[in-house]
Amino acid sequence: MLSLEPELILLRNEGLLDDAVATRLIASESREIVSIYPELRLLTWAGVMLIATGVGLYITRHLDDIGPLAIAAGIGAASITLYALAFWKRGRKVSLVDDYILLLAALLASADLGYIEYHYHLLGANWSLHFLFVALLHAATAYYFQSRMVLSLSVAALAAWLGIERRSFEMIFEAPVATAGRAFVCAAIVVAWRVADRLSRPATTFSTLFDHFAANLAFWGALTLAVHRETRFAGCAIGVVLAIASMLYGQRTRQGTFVIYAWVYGMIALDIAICNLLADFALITLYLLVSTIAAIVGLFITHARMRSAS
Amino acid sequence: MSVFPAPTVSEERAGALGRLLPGARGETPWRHRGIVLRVVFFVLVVIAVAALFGFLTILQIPIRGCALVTAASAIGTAEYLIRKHRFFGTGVESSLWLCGTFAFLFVFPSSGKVEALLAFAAAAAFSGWRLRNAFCGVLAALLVVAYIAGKGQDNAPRVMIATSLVAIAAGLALIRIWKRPSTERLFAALAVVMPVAGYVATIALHEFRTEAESISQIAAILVSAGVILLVIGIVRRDRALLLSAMLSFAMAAIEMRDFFAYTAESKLIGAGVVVAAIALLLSRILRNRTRGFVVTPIRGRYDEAIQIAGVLAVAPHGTPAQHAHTGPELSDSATATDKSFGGAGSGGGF
Repeated sequence: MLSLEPELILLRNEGLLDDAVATRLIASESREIVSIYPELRLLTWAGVMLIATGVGLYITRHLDDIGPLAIAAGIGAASITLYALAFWKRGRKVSLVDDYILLLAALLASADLGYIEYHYHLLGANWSLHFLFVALLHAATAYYFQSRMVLSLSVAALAAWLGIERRSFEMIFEAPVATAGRAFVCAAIVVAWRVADRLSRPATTFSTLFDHFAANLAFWGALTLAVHRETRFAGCAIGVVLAIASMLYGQRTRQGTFVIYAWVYGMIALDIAICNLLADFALITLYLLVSTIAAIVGLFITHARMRSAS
Repeated sequence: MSVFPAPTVSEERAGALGRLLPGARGETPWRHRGIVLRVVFFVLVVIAVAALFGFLTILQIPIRGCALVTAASAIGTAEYLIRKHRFFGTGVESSLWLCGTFAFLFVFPSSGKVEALLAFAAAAAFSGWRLRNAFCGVLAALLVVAYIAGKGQDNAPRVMIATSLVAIAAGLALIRIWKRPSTERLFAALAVVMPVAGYVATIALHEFRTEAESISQIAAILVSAGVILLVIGIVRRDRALLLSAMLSFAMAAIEMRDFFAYTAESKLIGAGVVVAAIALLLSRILRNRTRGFVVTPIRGRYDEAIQIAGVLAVAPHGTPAQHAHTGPELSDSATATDKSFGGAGSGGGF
């Protein structure tokens, strides 16, 4: 084991660390007090995900045996029960499982709404609208319970409604312009949502989540255009512009991740454009060597400056 | 000056103190970066070194020459950055050293034998020793595991025993009070990774082993190792060992899944209920404690990972089960998601 107890005692004795903080840190360093709260949360999350996966598997394997109504009603009832439990626990002492009761409720609600639409086709040709309902439900829940975890489900459902989801990966190659357009629209909606959230609730804790979603969606849109021959240069140009914006935002807000996004996504966009212009394989390899070194040096210097400034 | 300059014990400890208490005498001359940035730098350097090697190959320089130039450039640059700019723990120098030593191995003629893995393990271990880097140390151990697994077709229990013993030895080493944080990190990483590596190796050997006997042996080894790690973890109040024990039990449960005549979904739901119940029970037992293990809410080191994993896990994938389609056909729909349901947790495929 490692213990920084001697250093902490020294700092306390020299008056550089107040007694309360020193006592807490020394107890932690000497392992007199060890909080396993994060580990128990991890365990609870694993349990919830196992249950959710098991329920999903159960539905897919027993669709015909149980009957659609029983499945829809059963999952719906379970979800409502868990929402009710989360609501009931809201006013009480914070517990380890609060977040995960809500997460499981939200996951089951998603599964139930998806299944109902899949089986009964209540929305007919507008079937994809059910994603919007899911997004709205999760957004309302996220705001009510102040849950970032449920908010991320809401934004993912919004993206799915706009046609961006992992299952439609092939659309990147089949319809790059449409897919990229959807990604940009989704990013713009997320940015607008973030602005509205910030204006209406200055103490919000959701902004970072919106920022990351918006940045990644916009960059994926740009790279989707960049991988396609006809739209390559437009995609690369948008990628570079976004990288500059991400860099400025990262430096202004002192968020290192956006500086990393800027260098990594920006470098990919630039590499695609320049490698497309170079015909000789040796030149391409040499260029990649130089550009990667430039990105490493650039990222290192930018990050170091940002650190020293803060 | 040392042949291989590196942070002294006091500098390493000052760095660790700086991370614990930002601004409190944590300044050292050595440049260090956070884990995300280290991973990014590591990957970028691998791309750069691969590009250098590829460029030299295209120039039709003999492969040994390419390897030698790449190794010299990479290790030379790493040493320059360490000595001149005090890089240590940035991800750049460790990636350069690792890629350099690996490239150096291509100077020698390829035998195509599994023993080559030991040469790569030695290269990783040397890089790990030079840079006091836990990742390189663990990589060396993983390559040795791969070698043992590659040596024989009926080696699964032996691989599992070897990796469990390394994990237990690392666990025992964690009992001692170490002065250097890097030493602590290496043993903690070994304790967590080795049982997982051993189990993955046994899965790779799956098709070569005698089913029932081997399954029970491997599960027994995992449970035994888990119990030992759990006991040491509880006695020494060590998080890494508790995590390692948790993983060992989880892998033992996965290994024994075929022993129980229930459907996969029943097992998943049952396991989920048991896992959540254990967490709840422990939180109940510990909730009023103020000494030893407690459940005081602290910012979780796994929270961000859980959020990312949660989003990835609920993102739709796969296709739903085939069954009678009772609703109208959506022949006018144009996207790839048609005739399946799901999205952001509403996936039929889960």
